[in-house]
Amino acid sequence: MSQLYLVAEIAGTRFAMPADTVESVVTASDIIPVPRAAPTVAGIAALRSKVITVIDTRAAINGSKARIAASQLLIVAKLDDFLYGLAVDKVHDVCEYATAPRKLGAAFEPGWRRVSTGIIELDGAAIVVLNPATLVAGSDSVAA
Amino acid sequence: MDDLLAEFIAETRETLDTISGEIVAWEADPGDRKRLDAIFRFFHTVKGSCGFLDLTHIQRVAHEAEQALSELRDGTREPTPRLVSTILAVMDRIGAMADALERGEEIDESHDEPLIAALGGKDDEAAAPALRTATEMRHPARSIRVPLELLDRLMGGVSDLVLARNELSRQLRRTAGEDQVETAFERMSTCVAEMRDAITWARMQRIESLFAALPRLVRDLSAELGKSVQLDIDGADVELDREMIEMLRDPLTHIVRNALDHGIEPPEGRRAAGKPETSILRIGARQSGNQIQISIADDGRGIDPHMLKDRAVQGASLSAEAAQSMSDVDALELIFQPGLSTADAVSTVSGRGVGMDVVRSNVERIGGSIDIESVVGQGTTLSLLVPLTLTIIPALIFGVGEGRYAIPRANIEEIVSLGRDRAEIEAIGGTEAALIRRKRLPVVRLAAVMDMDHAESAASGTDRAQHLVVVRASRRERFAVMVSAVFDHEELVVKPAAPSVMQAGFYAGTALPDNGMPLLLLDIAGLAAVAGLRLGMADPQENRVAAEPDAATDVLIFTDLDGCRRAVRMALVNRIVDADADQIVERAGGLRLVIDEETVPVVASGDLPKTGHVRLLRLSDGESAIAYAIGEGAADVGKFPETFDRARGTGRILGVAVVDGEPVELLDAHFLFAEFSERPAISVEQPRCLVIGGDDLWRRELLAPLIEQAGYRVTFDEDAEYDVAIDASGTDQDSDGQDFEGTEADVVRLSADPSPGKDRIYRYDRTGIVDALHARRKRRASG
Repeated sequence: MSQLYLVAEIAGTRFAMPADTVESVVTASDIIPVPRAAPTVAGIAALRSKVITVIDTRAAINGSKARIAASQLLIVAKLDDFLYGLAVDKVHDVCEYATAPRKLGAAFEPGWRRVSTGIIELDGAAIVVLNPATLVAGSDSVAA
Repeated sequence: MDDLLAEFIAETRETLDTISGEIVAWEADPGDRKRLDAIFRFFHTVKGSCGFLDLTHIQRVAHEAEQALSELRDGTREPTPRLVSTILAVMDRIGAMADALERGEEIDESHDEPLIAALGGKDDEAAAPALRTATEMRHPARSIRVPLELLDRLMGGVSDLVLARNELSRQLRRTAGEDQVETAFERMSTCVAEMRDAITWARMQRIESLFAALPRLVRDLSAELGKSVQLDIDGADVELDREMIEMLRDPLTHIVRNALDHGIEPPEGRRAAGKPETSILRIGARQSGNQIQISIADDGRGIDPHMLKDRAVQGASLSAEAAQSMSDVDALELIFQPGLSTADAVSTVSGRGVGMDVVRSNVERIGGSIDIESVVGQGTTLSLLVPLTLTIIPALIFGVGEGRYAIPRANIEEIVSLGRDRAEIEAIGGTEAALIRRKRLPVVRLAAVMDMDHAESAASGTDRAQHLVVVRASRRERFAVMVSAVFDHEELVVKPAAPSVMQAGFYAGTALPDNGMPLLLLDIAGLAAVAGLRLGMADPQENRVAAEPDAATDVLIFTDLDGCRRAVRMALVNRIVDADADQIVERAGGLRLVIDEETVPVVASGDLPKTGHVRLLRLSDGESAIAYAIGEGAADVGKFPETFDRARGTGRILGVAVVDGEPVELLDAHFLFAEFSERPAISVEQPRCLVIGGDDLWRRELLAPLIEQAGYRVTFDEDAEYDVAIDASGTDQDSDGQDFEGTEADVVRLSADPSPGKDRIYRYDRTGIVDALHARRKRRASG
């Protein structure tokens, strides 16, 4: 049972995300800030006739807020009937990986450990698999 | 009972429709065992349901048919063509009776005896005419059953359609479109709007379905508690979105439980208090503007505000000093605080302290508000005010710093600009209050709540104009929200926001307005909580310090058909009716609205639209009703000042005043009712008038209506009793003029001759005839 992954890049690190939750990849239009929302929320944006919640992926991983502006690349994912746009720097490719991801070792930063489900190997390099559900989760998701 | 009946009717129709194919096949081959079974099952089900619903007549018919079919199955009877058509006729007949039941008509049982006889195989010939009438009487079904999920999906689809339309509109604006495209787009917009209305309407449900469970609940509870309670339900025909009905179910049940458990005293307590042993629980619903008001009133012991204060002080949610200065009205609101119960002991019914706070948050979650009024010894009334629908909300869009937000219109009381002497901000003990017309209101600086202070100060150079939006979280709880700009009113399709957004605590959802920039809708109750106003309530604020009695009347302000802004006293408005233009007909010299099997006189102060929807206010003076047609646009609840400029003469308008900066005319309801309402039918026995002789066409079609108009009942039967008589034989030119026997005292004689002789009246002399009739009747009555 193989699984499709979307490989993208944030803050110089490549990561993979299960492709079945991904709807599309778009460039953001205006992003409207949402005061007092979770720190991972960069704002809301219009996607065709829908409103998506833009997630500051970097903040969700290591707590440091990224500058997210128009023309930011967003991976649109649907979770629990809500549409999210996950801000990333680059989107590489979709690839197929046959076996289940390996567990992350303790050497990884706690931020990455929290949002990921494991590691897959691609072209000889190890890539972290992110769990979009933990990325978009609210209050408790940001490590100090 | 009504629900069961409707269910039975719908089910019977559905089965009839599905097995109609079977019937045709069975007719071709009456020996087909499987089809025979299907038809047998149909009659068996109908028989069973009818027995349950006490529809003995239909039950009997179905039973006879079942009997005959059972004999067919056993082979003791042959399926003769006549028997087959009799069974088919019985099926049609059951369909017809179901239709009659739905219309609330009497079932004409006379058709069925021959059918039953024919089923019994006794009198085959006599059944023939019955077969015919039975088949003719079948009416087509006028409603179908649709799963609720489908309706919800339709609504979702239409909401998306509205959003897609908005998106298209933006794209069109960008590419300065051609006229033809514009026209096509306009047409599509109209269709989308109509469709949205239709779906919204389809989702409307009578609040009856919410109230239906209450009689049973009250019965069981009062039995359990040993109390005697009479339930009085009013306004069950008010309609609201079915989603709202679902959301209201729990809060309403909870309130009713509370009323029965705590509010209403046991019989001995009531006797001691000098009240009737049976208490009355009144539950009523009515529409006011875009909102539905539901009130639950008991005549029980009421809630003692002092006891509430004591409880709150004990529970440490209120300081003793605060309790001292707190007004009774504010103290009653304590009941909505978490963990506060009025029950002395926890009972199985309620009183575990989880209660009114949950009810309140449930009601507020759907954009509603809840209020309490209580008089010790006399009872408690809870009023819920909820919006008609959840999905499309009229809202005000305003700016704070750089951002734009929306507040539901239903929450907004008024908008005041700062610095134009209409309102000012006072600093009191570290907090701020707005002074508007000598009343102090707590102020929420939205920019501060949203941690946008730096953005605010950066923009302050250019954007100094501040506005206060006065909002109410409940009828008594009001506060002012300070914003930097007020933009626009817009109808928003509101979608839930992601949990990580909702955690802010004061957002109600997201929306995409026409400009394409996503927007957040604020949750006013949540905002009050986040800004700490709820806590401030326990500390009695300067709220009422300078308050003067509110000298204003609650009115509904609307745009009339002629474009004027008019208002009508809220208490008179029964509900707002959206009718099709063809539901308004001109009858008997006036416009009438035909709705729900009643006709209501219609008052229109302008041209009624010929097609599409007409919005009407159903006004009631307690006995009779009139419908006042109003124009497009929102109807808002507002305050009409006590003193206003009175109109010069009497007429539809009582006077005019300025409300929110525009002149609004107040309707003179007394004049409207005097002028337009239905006078009760005079039930006095009408005198009878016998018409004798003359050409049959003339006397029936021309003379009789004239006499009826004059207030007489017409008879042509010479043997019948009568008060006066008209001898019309002279009108027939061919007649020999043989006179009807009768004394001159009570017979009016007519003639075809325009200048008739003595004692005769020309047949087209209207007034002459009527006067003569009246004169004769008077003479007879006095003689």
